[in-house]
Amino acid sequence: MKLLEWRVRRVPVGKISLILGILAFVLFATWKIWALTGYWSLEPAFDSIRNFFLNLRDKFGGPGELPMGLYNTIIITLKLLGILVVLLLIGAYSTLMERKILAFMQDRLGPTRVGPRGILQPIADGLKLLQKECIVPLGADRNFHYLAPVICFIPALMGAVLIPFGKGLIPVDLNVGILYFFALGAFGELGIFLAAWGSNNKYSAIAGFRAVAQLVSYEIPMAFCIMSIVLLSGSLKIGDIINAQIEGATAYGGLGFPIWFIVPQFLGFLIFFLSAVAETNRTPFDLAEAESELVSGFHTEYTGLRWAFFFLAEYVNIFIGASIITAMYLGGYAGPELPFLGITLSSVVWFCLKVFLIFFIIVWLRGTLPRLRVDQLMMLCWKRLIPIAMANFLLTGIFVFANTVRLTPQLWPVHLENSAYTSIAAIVFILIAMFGLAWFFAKDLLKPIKERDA
Amino acid sequence: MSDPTDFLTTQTGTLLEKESEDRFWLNMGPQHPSTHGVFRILLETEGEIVKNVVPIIGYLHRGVEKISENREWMGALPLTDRMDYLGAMSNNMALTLPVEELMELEVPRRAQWLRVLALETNRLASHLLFYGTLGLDLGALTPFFFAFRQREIAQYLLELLSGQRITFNYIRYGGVRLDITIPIEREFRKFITGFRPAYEEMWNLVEGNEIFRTRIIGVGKSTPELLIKHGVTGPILRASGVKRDLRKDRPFAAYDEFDFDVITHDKGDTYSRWYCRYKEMGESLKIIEQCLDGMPDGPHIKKMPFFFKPPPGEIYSVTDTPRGDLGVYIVSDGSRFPYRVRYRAPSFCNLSVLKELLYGTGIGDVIAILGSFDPVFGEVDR
Repeated sequence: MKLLEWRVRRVPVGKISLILGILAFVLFATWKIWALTGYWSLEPAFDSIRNFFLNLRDKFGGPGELPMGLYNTIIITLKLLGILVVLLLIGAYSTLMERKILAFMQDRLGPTRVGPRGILQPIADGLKLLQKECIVPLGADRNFHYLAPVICFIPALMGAVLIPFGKGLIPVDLNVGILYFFALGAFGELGIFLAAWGSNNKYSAIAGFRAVAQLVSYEIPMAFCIMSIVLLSGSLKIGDIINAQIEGATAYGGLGFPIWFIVPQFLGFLIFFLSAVAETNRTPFDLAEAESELVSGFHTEYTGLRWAFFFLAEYVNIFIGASIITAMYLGGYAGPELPFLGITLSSVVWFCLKVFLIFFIIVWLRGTLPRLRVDQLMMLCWKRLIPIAMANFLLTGIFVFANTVRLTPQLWPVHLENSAYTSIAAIVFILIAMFGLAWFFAKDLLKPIKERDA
Repeated sequence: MSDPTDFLTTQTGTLLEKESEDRFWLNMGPQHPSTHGVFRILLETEGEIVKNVVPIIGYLHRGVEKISENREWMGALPLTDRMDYLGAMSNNMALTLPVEELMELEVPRRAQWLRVLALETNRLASHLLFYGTLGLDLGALTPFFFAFRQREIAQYLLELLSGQRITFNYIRYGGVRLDITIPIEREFRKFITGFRPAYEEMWNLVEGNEIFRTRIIGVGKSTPELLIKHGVTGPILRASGVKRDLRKDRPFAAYDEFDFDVITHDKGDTYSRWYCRYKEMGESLKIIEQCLDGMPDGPHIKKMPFFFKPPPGEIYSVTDTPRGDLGVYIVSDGSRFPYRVRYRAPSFCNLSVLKELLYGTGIGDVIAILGSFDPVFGEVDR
């Protein structure tokens, strides 16, 4: 009977410290990335602080110039806060958008009561969630239970530095850009698994197992699609990938003619889209929070603000995924200049339109499709997506190789034998090896559940 | 086993103790979102695969049969509404029939036709609810709203007809409580014209949806022998190829005057159950149309006193409901009160086979199969 008792904490200090902690962590993490990429090192920070005090001393006489380091600090802090606020608003308002789109598809109205046509609904929801107390089940691992929403939410925020909002509006154009996105995706899953494990709930545990299996599987076709794009554009940078689609070439490679990568990579686009939907745990791949089977899946035991963090993380992740799809396949912010808006603003408009299109399709899927079963989910990944993604990668490689030979014929007669045949042989070998491995590990999974049991 | 609660404590207690490393017991219900009310299943799972099932019922037991013995015959009638609350008309019908037989009442023809109209509208509403909730169980939201938009109109029609939305208490001893009027008939016809396109749309939403089909085809397969052994009736039995429908085999009310088909399907899986119920909606629509076209004139009820004393005797009669055969056994000792009323609830018998179908399936399939059985726990527990 002891498990039935609840330990209740009604102190708002936890919430406040959670918010402050996340803010501090985001500031620190983003600053760290900026520092690592050479945008900003530690020295100016110290300088700015020193200069600030020096200036204070000097400025009793009269106004002086603001030190450069302090100026940078303020600008960066403002930028980060801006991104944070924009992201939180996006996370909150995409819920309203989803509800409205779903309502449109299901022949009903959606939220209409809070504000005109319900546009204040997310804010009302947020306030409601702030007031609710955070309950921790007695048998739960308190630390994991506390940490999980934070770990889920922070990668979602960190991913935002990659989003190419418009021409020249990429917050940080990392040179490892697309890999960074990939790494954050895996990091966010850790939060889900911690939540599942730390809740002391069997439904959550099953959801956690499902989530891990799903994530590990669906990262493979995703990686193959990313590699194909990298082959085509010759760079991992988001800015370079978009430029390769607008201008046709970058400093490192490219096709030589401008084309959105959705045309040569249509298969890749479909696979990446499906995998991104699976990575963000959306219908028809929402097995980790299967409402009808596992109550609420990994966040069954969460209430209030902690639950809201999972919720926000999911929607921010959808937004980031849609942005990456837009950047990789739909030309990013590319589009004709609109009247009265100027180049920058019209690129922002184009980017937002494309992201909204992707978001709409994701919601459309939710309005149409039921959920897959676990074995069907695995089969779709291992039997369909991974082979197609591999074949797509191979074809892309051959295509890019032929294109490079076409562009630079003077380089090739000497090295052709060495590089071409060996690389093709290597690719074929890798393909065979991976198929073999996949079959070896997945042959048990590929059978229908009934058969496996008997 | 003298104390009935012994069963539960021994079953759950000993089973839960035997948890091993690779298997655990998963408690589903009675507050689970998709056990269709207050059903409880204990699943022993190995990963996702179900190895053992312990279904537990009784959370909605209200003693309908016992309460009936302490009320007049007329007072026992509203209690039947609370059993199968999704197909309450057919429950009224089931109790009315043996009492009328015992008293040798002549029911007016118009009353019989009105009964058929009410029964089939209610069957339509019940199957629409099944359509929506099966979608919800599989994780799709839209079928639910598509179905409920139509069901809302059907409930509105029943409200016009009987004055109530859920617990109708419409079919009485000797006829029906209220007559149909011309404006109500007009509303019925409006509903029929509006329902046809929605009906097609609902077909496309499932039949044209690959994920929907893979989730339900071949899941929860049953054989006619197994189902008959467990006393399963209704659309579930018809879905495995047995052509049994009491509306045809042993017509009550005025069903022998109507032209409709008994829908069967030969696979016996979740898809077949869905298919049968879906097609039955079309047949119900056909019957409703015939009802409206050829409604005979005359009184809608043979006037009865509120308190009456049927002659002593006992009768068992069976009628068809949206969920299967509802049997009613009544004993009268000649007083104002029933001596004994006993219901053979179709959902209760249908659920008995559930355990056999769940072995070896996944957790997702458990919900799908349970959803395809469409049980009503007011009726199971009574």
